[in-house]
Amino acid sequence: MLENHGDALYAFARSRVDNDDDIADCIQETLLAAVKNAASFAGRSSERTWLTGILKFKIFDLYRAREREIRFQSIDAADDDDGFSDNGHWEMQRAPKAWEKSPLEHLEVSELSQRLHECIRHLPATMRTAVVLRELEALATAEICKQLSVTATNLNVILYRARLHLRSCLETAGFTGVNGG
Amino acid sequence: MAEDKKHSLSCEEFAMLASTRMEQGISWSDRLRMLWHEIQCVYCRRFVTQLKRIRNLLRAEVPAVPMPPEIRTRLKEKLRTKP
Repeated sequence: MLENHGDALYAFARSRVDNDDDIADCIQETLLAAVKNAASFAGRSSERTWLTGILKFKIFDLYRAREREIRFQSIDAADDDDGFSDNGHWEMQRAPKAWEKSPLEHLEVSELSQRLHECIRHLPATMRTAVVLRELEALATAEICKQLSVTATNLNVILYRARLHLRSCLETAGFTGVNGG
Repeated sequence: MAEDKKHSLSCEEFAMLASTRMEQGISWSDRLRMLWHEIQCVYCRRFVTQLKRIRNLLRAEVPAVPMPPEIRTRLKEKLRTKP
């Protein structure tokens, strides 16, 4: 299973978990659970889909464990480093650029997507978890609030802050590379 | 004058509403205020388009990233030692 599906499982986990130690643990638990429950794999889906499903729940378990450790630090909409000046207008240097005129437009979708996933890895833990659950897993808001123990208003703020980060990270990556700015 | 100010959004308020709108409905008055702001602000128009682009990219395929050899070796060893 590791030979056939290792890369796919790693790619799946990499967009959702920020460090290789945790990724390796999640994949290990997934493969062990798969071996243990091989009888329950009815062949209704492909083996990879089945394994990915198990891995997803292992990652959710990790989020829950971390959530207890971290607790939510700051979910304030205002942030000194959010790209807005004191009067609420975009700071000129950081205002959204025209992507259609930038190198971003010339990237293949797969490369753009890869850069965006790198940006997710650089998000603070709370924001990353919210983005994964909302954008990658497309879970309903109510479900995410339950998982993260936050109110809908708090979740909106977390997602807003995460989107500001992702937008600006991708834009920077488009011009200078993910680690360049 | 104060009343006037209440009817117009700053870019920051616009951005927050644009993100919230991706999660839940917003009031008609907020929609109108957004529309009014959007007509006048090229940066906020870009912001909305870019948020949608980001959502579409994230909901498409996961990019292929091969498992690093050291993780593969580590997993092989761990799985071998497990009963």
